Amino acid sequence: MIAPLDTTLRWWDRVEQFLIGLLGLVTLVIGIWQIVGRYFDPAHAISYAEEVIVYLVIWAIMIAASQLVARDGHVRSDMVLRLLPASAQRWAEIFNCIVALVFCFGLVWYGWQIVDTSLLLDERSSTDLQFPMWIYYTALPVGGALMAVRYAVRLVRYAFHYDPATMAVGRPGAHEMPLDMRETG
Amino acid sequence: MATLLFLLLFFGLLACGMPIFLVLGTCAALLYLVSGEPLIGAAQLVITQLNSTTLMALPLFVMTAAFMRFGGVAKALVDLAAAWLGGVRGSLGLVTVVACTLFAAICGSSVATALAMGSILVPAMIERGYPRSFALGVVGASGTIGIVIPPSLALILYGIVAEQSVPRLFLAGILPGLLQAAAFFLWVLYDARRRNFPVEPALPFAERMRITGHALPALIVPVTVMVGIYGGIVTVTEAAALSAVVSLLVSLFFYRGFHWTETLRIVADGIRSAATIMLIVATALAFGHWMTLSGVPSQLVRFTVDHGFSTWEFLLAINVLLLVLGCFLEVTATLLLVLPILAPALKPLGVDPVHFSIIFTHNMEIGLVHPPVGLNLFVLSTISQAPIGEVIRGILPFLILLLVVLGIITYVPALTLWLPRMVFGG
Repeated sequence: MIAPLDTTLRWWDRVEQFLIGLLGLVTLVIGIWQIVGRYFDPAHAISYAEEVIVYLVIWAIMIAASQLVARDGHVRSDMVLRLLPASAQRWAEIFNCIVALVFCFGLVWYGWQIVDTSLLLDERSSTDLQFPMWIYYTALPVGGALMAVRYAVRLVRYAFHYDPATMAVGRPGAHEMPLDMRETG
Repeated sequence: MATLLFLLLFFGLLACGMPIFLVLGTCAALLYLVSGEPLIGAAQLVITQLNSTTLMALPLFVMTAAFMRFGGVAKALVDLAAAWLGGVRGSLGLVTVVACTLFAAICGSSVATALAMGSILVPAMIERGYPRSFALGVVGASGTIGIVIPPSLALILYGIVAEQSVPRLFLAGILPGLLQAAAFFLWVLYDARRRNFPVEPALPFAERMRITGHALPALIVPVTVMVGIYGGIVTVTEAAALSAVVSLLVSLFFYRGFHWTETLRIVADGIRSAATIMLIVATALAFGHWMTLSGVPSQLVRFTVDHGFSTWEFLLAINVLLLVLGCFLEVTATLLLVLPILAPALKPLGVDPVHFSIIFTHNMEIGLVHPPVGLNLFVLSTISQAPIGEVIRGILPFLILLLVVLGIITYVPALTLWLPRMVFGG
């Protein structure tokens, strides 16, 4: 792949990783804050922690979905696929990328409509927080768009830079593997 | 005909190596399109259903497991079991069973348990002269205890879909989980005598206490979760957040599995692990919703009643169906695909949903180690470089034990229901 694009992708990955880590860390802090606050410091206790945790985690997960595409980390069963000859595997992967792109565009399109409607109605959560729901809904189109970019890159790689020797690696889902076995972007 | 075409499409896409979330999402979208429902409804449904506090326990427990993998927690638990089992023939095999049970009480995922334990115990057993197939078999089989011992990811999902109390399900899983561990323990004890496995030297008492002390911080996590939930101090989701934080701190400061500057990276890794499951959950929710609307569940009930199936015949059929599905699909996906169809059918057939939850998850466990395609088999074959046939040979006796335990769980409801009834009444 062309060098500047690779550099851009690497930085993109780092930004995503930083955002995910930050969202995850804030989630944990808020979760603890709610428990500790309730029992030890009721004056500063918060009641909306669980609600905010949902928003943070879903956002983090939608961004992580894009990272999983880059790391080939989405759970799939590639048993049958690995029995095929290399060229057939390539076409299957290209097919997968195209379906994924269509799916992601759907996610962006319909996700955006949900956000738009929510903005129009000024939809708020029914708790004390009155959280504007469009912020939460935006995770859907953003996640779709980020994934679409990764799938486009993957498609280009399989279409023009295919090397049967290195591409054909079967592995279980990323969440089941230890770090050292899957830190390959 | 349409159903057949649809099944062909579903399994065809799976066979292409398409990610499971994408297969489910694409099929759900097609189903909505064909039945004339607007697609925006499906998107709206998914994002609304994800907005669930109970569901958030899932990513948080997955994060706990991810943190635990770095912290030397697995090592501490293995040392603990080895310290107390020294002097018994085949002790390393027994250590595997006990350490896996303890680890399962921390992390909630069977495959993660098999991985964490396998990478330590398989080389150790081979070095001490155990047959490799035995080493792989006992690790792979003991790893499956993780799915029923609380906190169990599968049981949390079951609770959400079948609208059951998660703390109740957790309690129901304890005795069957221990029964399974006991069955494995006795078998290893017997097998060790039969095949004359090596004996490890027994440790002096002071040394045992020192090792126990070192393992205590790791044991804080399951204790916090249990006391927190059953003491009525925290909700299941809060307990999950708490366990994630405790495991992060224990790994960071006590076992020093990683440097604090790496915290963001480790947290991000935990989130990525959670994302693989949550995307499947999200798309399976859309799929399951369509399934419920389509009226398949009521047809199933009518079919079963019309053909005079008794409850035990129904359960047997379900066992077989789940074993077959478990060979192709991942645990979360199977659960979310099948449960929306079965859950409404349980009441009319007189099956207790809490009892069924354990039958269901135990089936999933067997699917994980069942040839030809159990996920644990592949994980073990990958980490040990052993051919898959050798793993299968080693796991065979345990598979038979698992099937026997499944039979007991299915036809002795008291085993699962006694503990939750004791604690919660009803």
